[in-house]
Amino acid sequence: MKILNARIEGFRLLSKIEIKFSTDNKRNITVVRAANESGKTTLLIALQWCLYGDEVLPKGYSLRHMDLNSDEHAKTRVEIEYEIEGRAGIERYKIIRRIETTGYNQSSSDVNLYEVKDSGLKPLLSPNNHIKQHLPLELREVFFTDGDRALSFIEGAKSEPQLKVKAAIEGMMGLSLLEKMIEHLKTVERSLRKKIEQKAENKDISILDEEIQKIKQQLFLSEEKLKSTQEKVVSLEEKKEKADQDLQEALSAGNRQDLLDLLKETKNQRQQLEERKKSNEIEHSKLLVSKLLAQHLMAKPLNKAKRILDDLHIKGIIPNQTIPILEDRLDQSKCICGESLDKSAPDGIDRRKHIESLIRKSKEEEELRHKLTDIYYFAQQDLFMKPKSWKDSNSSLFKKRSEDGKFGEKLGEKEAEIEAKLAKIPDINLKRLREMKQTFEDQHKDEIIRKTELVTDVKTLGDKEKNKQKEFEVVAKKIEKIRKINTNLSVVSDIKNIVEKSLDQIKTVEVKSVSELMNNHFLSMIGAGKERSLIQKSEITTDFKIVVYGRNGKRLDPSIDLNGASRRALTISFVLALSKISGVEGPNVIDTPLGMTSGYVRTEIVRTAADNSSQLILFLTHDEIEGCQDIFDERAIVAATMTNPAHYPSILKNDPRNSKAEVLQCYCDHRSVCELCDRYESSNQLN
Amino acid sequence: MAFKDQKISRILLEEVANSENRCRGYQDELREAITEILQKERAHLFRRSNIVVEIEDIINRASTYVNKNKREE
Repeated sequence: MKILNARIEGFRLLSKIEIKFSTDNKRNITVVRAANESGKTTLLIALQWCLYGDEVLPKGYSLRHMDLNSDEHAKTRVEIEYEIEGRAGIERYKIIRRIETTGYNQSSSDVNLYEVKDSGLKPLLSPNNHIKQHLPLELREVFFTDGDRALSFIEGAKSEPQLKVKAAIEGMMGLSLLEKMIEHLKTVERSLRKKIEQKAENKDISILDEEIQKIKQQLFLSEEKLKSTQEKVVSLEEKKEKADQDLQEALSAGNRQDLLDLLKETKNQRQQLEERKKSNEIEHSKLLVSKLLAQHLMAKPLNKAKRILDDLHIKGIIPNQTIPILEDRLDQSKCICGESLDKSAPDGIDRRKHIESLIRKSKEEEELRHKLTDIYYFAQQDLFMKPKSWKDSNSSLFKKRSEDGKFGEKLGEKEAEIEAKLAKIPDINLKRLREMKQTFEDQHKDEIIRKTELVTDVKTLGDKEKNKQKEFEVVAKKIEKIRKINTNLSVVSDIKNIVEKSLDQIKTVEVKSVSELMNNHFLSMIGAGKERSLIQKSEITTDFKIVVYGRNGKRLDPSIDLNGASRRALTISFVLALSKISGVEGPNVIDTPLGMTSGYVRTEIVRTAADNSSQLILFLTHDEIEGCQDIFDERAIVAATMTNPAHYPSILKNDPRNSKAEVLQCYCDHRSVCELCDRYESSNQLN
Repeated sequence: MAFKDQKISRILLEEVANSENRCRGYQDELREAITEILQKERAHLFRRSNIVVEIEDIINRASTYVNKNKREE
């Protein structure tokens, strides 16, 4: 990264300051000349504020122009144009940071970043992200420093310099980046191991395979059985069909057995009919000799006799049996007709007398009456009763016998017909055919049931096999996954080992390189390292501490045992060596680096710094330039001379005619002066 | 002053050459993976992301390459 130019407005003493920095590789030094209290440190802070923001400002640092009252509005603006070496070549950017304040309370500044294109400025979103990548904050102290602050790398409390050196090395060499990388790789490694542990809990695939083979065997057997059963079913269907066909054919020719049964039944009926005929014949013959026929034939004389006997009965001559009845009634004191026969009642007495008279008369005609009574009652029951019609009985019987005769004829015809049919029907065993058909049907049903069961078995086994197969595939996939995870683990372990070794390499070999280069620069700057020199060697220890050795290998404390010039030389050597070895390119912007130095050390610091920096920007006092003019003639451009008008008349020869608290800029180089910057000391210094 | 990571990359890639070659082209795959992880780590410093997942993806890709090559071998 190289700074191309900067423009500062309203930053404390600095206003209308424009500096163009050298980007020439041969003339890589840019010098800003300014006496004390002429804005060098302010310029350094302004540049850092523009690049890094408010957090780099010293605590309580006000950016406001120093002449402004607290109630006045102030505008501060710093612009820097820089270039970086991007993937596609050199890229140019312009950063503008500004802040407007009223009073002493400063709000946050605003920043805008633009990519500088041939077509103009292209604003970039999220400028802070871009700036962080272009200008890492953690490297600020390495690249932007001043003579006093530079010493902080080796001076101060015992732990502090070590921490600063360590932080600078870690930042520049990317150690922290690699440490983060290792940390993330370890996280990935842990995650992979966890995944393997989780997946390893699965069932053994060989057991699953065995189970699948068993199911397959069972399935094969069931399928074979099913096949056989299906064949049986087909065969039985055919047999059943054939049996049915045979039966139908036999039946269509006539059912012999049925005919035989029918013949038997017909014969039975004919036999029953014969018996009935015989019975009717007997009955008919009985009718011809029956009382009924006599009654029928003697109806007239019997009717006459009946009338006579009825008359005798009416007259009470008969029946003879009235005597005991009448005697009984007398004993009962109540007549059959219900009237009283009471002996004490006059009516009863009369009635009793009448009955007693009847009894007497009856006894006198007893014999005759006895015979007539017998005849009367006998005839009453058998002769005088209205007889059934003999004709009807005779007709009924005749009809029955006639019908039986006809029925007998029909049965005879039927029997003859059946026998004729039977004679035509071949002697086929229909029963057997039916039994065969039934057997086949039963067998068919059994086989159908068996087939259904086998189909179910096959389906169940098939499903089981499918499920096991799926399980197998899942486990196989998991095993494959574990295998893949194992490979992932190997890869991540390989990468982690590589990064760890690289980190170790950087910590040892590369830091040693920084140490050696720093030592070379340092000894070169101070002209030491020779046998008689007080300082023999400097180095960075494995715990990132800068140490210096004197004669006989005596370890020196840099903050105590080195003079000011050597301490500055050592710090600048460290910064330059670190930049060089890390490969991180950036401007070395140093404010008053040459204080406490003179002569050889001063020129060597400048020369070494110029040789080992891609862009060396030095803010120097007139005194610091002293002795280095030749180098600057050859290697530097002097971008500006800044003059504080408040130095008139004590230091400045001419009145700048400016009473503001504001540094004035001219473009005089290290060997020239103008009316503005001419100082009383100039004539001596310019010689 | 921008990080160029050339030094780190060079050292990392040198170490790759000393690593076990699990299959043909494995070291090339490792170089590619490490370079990409380094870039992701660098970007992660300035723009937070799920860096672990990103690294897992890179590792997975390299692993797939290894598995494929081992099968072919």
